[in-house]
Amino acid sequence: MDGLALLCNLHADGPVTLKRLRLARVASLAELERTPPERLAGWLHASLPQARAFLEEARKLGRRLAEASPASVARPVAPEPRAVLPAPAAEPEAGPPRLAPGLLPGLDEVACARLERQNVRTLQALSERAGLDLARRTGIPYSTLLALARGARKLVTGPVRPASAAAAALRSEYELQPFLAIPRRAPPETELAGSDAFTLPPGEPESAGPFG
Amino acid sequence: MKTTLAFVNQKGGCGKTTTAVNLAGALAARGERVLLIDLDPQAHATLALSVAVAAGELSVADVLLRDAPLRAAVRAGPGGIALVPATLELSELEEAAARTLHPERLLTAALAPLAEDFDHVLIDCPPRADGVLTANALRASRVAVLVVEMGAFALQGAIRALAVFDELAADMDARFDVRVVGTLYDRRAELARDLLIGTQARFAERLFDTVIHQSARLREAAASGVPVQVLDPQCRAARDFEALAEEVLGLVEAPVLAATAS
Repeated sequence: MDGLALLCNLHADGPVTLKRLRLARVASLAELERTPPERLAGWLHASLPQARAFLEEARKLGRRLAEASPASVARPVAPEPRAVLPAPAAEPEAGPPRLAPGLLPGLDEVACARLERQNVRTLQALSERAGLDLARRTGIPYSTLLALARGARKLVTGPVRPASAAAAALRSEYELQPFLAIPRRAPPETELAGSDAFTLPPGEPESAGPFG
Repeated sequence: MKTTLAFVNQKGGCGKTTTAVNLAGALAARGERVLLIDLDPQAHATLALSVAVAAGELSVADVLLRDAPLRAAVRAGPGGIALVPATLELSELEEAAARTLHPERLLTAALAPLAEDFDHVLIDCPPRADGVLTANALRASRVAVLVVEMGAFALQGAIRALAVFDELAADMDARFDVRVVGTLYDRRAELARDLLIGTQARFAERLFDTVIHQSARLREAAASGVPVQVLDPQCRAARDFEALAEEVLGLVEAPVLAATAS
């Protein structure tokens, strides 16, 4: 499944839309993004706002996939955590706590070396970058990586304290969301309105429309 | 024979039987000659095509346990599907395998005389990866279709299953392509969409473009004992399987890839 098929399954009718796009010789997500909405509306038998909304989803998905691609290893650095570390013995130097074998359950020398090769050298980086992409690159099983990230986050944020509103907000900010690399915004009401209310295109009674 | 597909996953309830039955229906609706072999002792594919095995009638258990010819066990099912039914007796094969030389090759040998009679052979496997039944299916197959439900733990389960099938392929010195199909997908659910993105990122070209949507029509079809193409050929589920059938036909010409999960 390529990005285009993924988009059609996420935001359209899947096979019907994909077939129409392929018939129109759209081969990739990038090509779709460059398509004028008027033309797309014609291909998909959809209205102009629907075509615009679909293109916007294509752009979002393109960004999300690019974020997970090898070229985007360098990510914006998140703000330093305000919580104090429990100062493990293996951390003699100041600055962000670095990964070391034995610092977390399951974190051995091999795992440290693999993470280091992906520029994951600190607990902070581990807690932020754990996800499918990093699991794939390091060869560390995804579930193991998530467990390591949970441990790292606990060390970074320190012991759980009575939750003030600010502390709760901080924790939720650092909550690991492996499939949500790009923070999402709620789509405006105007985009949502009628997004699923497609009607059968005239002359195609067998189709449920491009977006299902 | 163009291709043989085994529908596998060690997890139950992920849609293996539904996918096997309705893909068989979609291929048959295109005029392909399809043989569906129910290799699950629970016999759900047999039930889904409303075939009953009466006393004296042959099932796949007779073929594998008593060397009955496979051709004699083939039954005509609805929607143009030829079916080799299963019975609970099939579960005895696990025990009998201990007394058999190369028990994992029984199905391959039984299928050989039918090579020219069918375009596609689809094998519905039991929900386990380590048994002799699944080993038979994988050895006889060119493509192992890993059926993955788009629900919680799906991705981790699929990754584990792929690792198991890799190991099996190495142990059996078999060479089959592993493809993944997503099932029970509900695109209104954010979790399902996120899982699809994660599954696509993990399996890329091994994941079929077609995802099978959750559908009441599929449940109705199974309860009615027919493939969904017979129940309602215009419904969304029928369209999904039509698209999947088109992709499977595309596989026929594609080269077999190594059965690695990477």
